[in-house]
Amino acid sequence: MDGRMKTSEVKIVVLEPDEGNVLTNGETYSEKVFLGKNDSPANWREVPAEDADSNENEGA
Amino acid sequence: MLDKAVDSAFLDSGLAQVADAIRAKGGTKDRLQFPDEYVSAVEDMDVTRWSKPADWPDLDALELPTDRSENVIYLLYDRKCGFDPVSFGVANSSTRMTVHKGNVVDGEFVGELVASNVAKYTDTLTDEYTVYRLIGSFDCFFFHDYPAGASYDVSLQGVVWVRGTAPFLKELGSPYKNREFASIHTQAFELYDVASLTYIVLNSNAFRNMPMYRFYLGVDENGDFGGNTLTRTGVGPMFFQPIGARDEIVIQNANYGNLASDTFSGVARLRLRNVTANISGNRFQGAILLKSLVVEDSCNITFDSVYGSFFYCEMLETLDLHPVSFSGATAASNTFSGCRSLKELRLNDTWAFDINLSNAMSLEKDSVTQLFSDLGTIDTAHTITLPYGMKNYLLTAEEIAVVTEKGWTVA
Repeated sequence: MDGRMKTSEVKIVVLEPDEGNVLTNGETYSEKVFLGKNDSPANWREVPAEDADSNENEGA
Repeated sequence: MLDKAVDSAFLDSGLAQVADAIRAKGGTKDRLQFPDEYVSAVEDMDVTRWSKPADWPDLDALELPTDRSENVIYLLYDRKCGFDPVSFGVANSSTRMTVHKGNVVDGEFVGELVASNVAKYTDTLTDEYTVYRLIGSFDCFFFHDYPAGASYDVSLQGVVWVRGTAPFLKELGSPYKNREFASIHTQAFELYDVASLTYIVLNSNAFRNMPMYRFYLGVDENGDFGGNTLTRTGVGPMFFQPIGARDEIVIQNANYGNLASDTFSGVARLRLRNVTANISGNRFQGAILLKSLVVEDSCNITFDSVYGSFFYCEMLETLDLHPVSFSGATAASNTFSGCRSLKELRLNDTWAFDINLSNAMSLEKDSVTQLFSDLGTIDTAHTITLPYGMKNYLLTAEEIAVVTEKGWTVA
């Protein structure tokens, strides 16, 4: 141990919906989204969780 | 305080009977610990699978001949007795074969008649005729000189084990309808040194219902195909259906061209080594027994579509496609849908499609971080959907950033 702490700076845009909702981009549903650098919050919207249950698309 | 009195002698006797029944059905003599090993033995039991009779020889005791010029066994249907392979149909109890034993000299068999009028195993076949243990060098294996596409219907109905070399074998198969190539008695089919083999014709059901322990076909003991370009026609559903959860199938040094649909629907573990092939869409779709598919670095495999490729491979645990090129793939949806058992997935930087693993509840963290590392930088947004909670509780922000920096969204 050299006593030096490892430090790092991580920048990720994280989207989280209100309670009872999930996020969707029209293709997939998630309770939490970590945006890629090419993605935009505008591509995601909140929907009620039950919508995800009924429309869950397992594709990809 | 006891809630019920039990006759211990009766209980012991009953448990012993249950254990004996499990051992008999499972083909083992191992002692079973109650209750866990009773439960697991029953769970592992394939009740549809035929069991090897206890008096049959131990497969592992069989050895390949060390000198190919000796111990040659020559087996063929006896057409001199009036056997007409065109009209005969599948070999049955009236099928008769002759067995010769000798050497191959300059590519020609020279030997003596060992037995004639040999019927299939269930009738009169005995050790005396050696077909029971067909071990040797099959320099003329059934119909190898027949022209491709000929309507001969030949099978291994009388053969329990096939293990040997076949350096002059040119063709292998049963190119007539959907006949079974082997019988329900065939435990193993292993042909080595098939350096001349360029044509395989195995139709649907070729090995259906075989209780095979092993299947090898290649030019050496590793199942090497020697780089032969294999022309395969008629390989259809359930080609490998009977192999199930037995050994891992290793196919190597083969050029498959386009894989046929459902070719591997019965394989539990498949490893491709130095194989050239193009795979279209749902070639593994419905491979309900598939537990692992590993493509080694030596392969040259492309996917021209990944649409539904592994759709509902529900037992699939390991899927290593890291040497595969997906650059030419044009469609990707439902690729991993229903892969509920998936623990490990490896792709590479040619993959540029959404990856939905939301059902893969057994996915291992190390596999995910490896996947993040292997994926390449993409120009348009694509999403990796992980099982609920995984990104929240198992992955750190730093680990997720590895892939978001490349353009992937993690949901």
